[in-house]
Amino acid sequence: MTFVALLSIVLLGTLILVLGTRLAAQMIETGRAKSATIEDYLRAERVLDSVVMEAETMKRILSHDDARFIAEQGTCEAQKLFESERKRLALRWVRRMQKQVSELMKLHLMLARYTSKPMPKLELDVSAKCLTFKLISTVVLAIIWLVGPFRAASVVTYTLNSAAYFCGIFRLRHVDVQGSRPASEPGSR
Amino acid sequence: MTANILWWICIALETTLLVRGIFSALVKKYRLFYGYITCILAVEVIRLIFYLSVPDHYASVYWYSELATIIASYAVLIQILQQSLRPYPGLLRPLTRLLWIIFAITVSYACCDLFANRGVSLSRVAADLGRDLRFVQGALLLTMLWLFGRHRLSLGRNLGGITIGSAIWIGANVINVAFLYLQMREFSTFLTELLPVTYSITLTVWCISLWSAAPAAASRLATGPEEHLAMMTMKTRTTVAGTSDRLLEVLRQR
Repeated sequence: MTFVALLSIVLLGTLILVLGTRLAAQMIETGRAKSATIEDYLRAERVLDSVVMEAETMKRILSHDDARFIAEQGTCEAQKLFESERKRLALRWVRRMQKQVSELMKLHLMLARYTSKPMPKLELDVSAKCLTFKLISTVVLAIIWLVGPFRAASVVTYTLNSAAYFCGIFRLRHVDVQGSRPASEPGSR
Repeated sequence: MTANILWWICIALETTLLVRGIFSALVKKYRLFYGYITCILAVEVIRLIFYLSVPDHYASVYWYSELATIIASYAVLIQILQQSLRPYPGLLRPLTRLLWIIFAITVSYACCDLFANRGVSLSRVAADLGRDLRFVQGALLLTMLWLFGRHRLSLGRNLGGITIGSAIWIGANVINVAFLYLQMREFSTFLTELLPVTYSITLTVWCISLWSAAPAAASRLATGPEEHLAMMTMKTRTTVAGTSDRLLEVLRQR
């Protein structure tokens, strides 16, 4: 048995024990908690909507105009205070968003188990989208925490623009390859 | 000496579990599980007889009986799956199908393995087969545990106890079997000695949770969830995707 195989089997055993313990904890918790209803789901969705609606305010809060104004007019201390305040606000907003999405997803899964007509493809898509959100928001949180909200905006813009640029290039390549494919190649008709 | 005491404790716990199952009428509800316990008890008694009267044959008897108990323990997984997902038909059908597919693949693999190892001793083949079956069983249980956690299924005290006990026993077994095949003799000996203790803990968990019949966890059904589900899934997808876009849009400079 190779080392990698052994490691994966030990990991399998450990995961079983961990999930077993989690199940025990969940059973104790379930004794206290109530089940979900569609009303709970709609309520959670409304809360998430209200958090997302704050996006415009957040955009204003993270705008460079204020930062520039403080840098020109304020003292160094004021600038530091301003930056730490905005950083705190940005972090709080992203965390609230994460919490609400998790809550919504939890309720969604709790309700999904009652159906007799499962939609595995759609469910998989929802899970993938949720995972993408978690990944993006965690990266954004890390960037804000490391470089502050204003520089984070630059990093995010740069990354998105680069991604868009590469996507554009790949799309063009794809068109080129499709165009230059010889007619005798199977499936080119 | 300690091993012998543990052996007797395990037999006593298995007997208690069976007797309590008959008195509390849980035997009728969890037939497959109690069938497994009966099989284990019979195996333990046979092993004890061989150990005391014909110790030379004990090793081969051990590996054959181990293989039989591993195959029998698949019944516990089927029992957990059937009972836990009875109120949730949406999950029961695809998962039962998946379980049978995996079981069929494992049995086919085991048959191929038997043909390939004709020259090797039968107890060795039984040991290898038992190891592979245990790994597959571990993977199956892991999937089930993940699903129970993901959908927050309420299992109730009886079924929850069976599942947690199985997780302790199979988890410890998978780790032990993996180390048995490695050259780390000291560590694998330690794990092998620890295994009877883990088994008695498992039996204690089963005894406590199955001492009396507990009502299945009540699940408050949402009003008309069927009609809402398709709409709800679409909504969750749109909301989550929209939230990601909004988050990036806020940070993006024009």
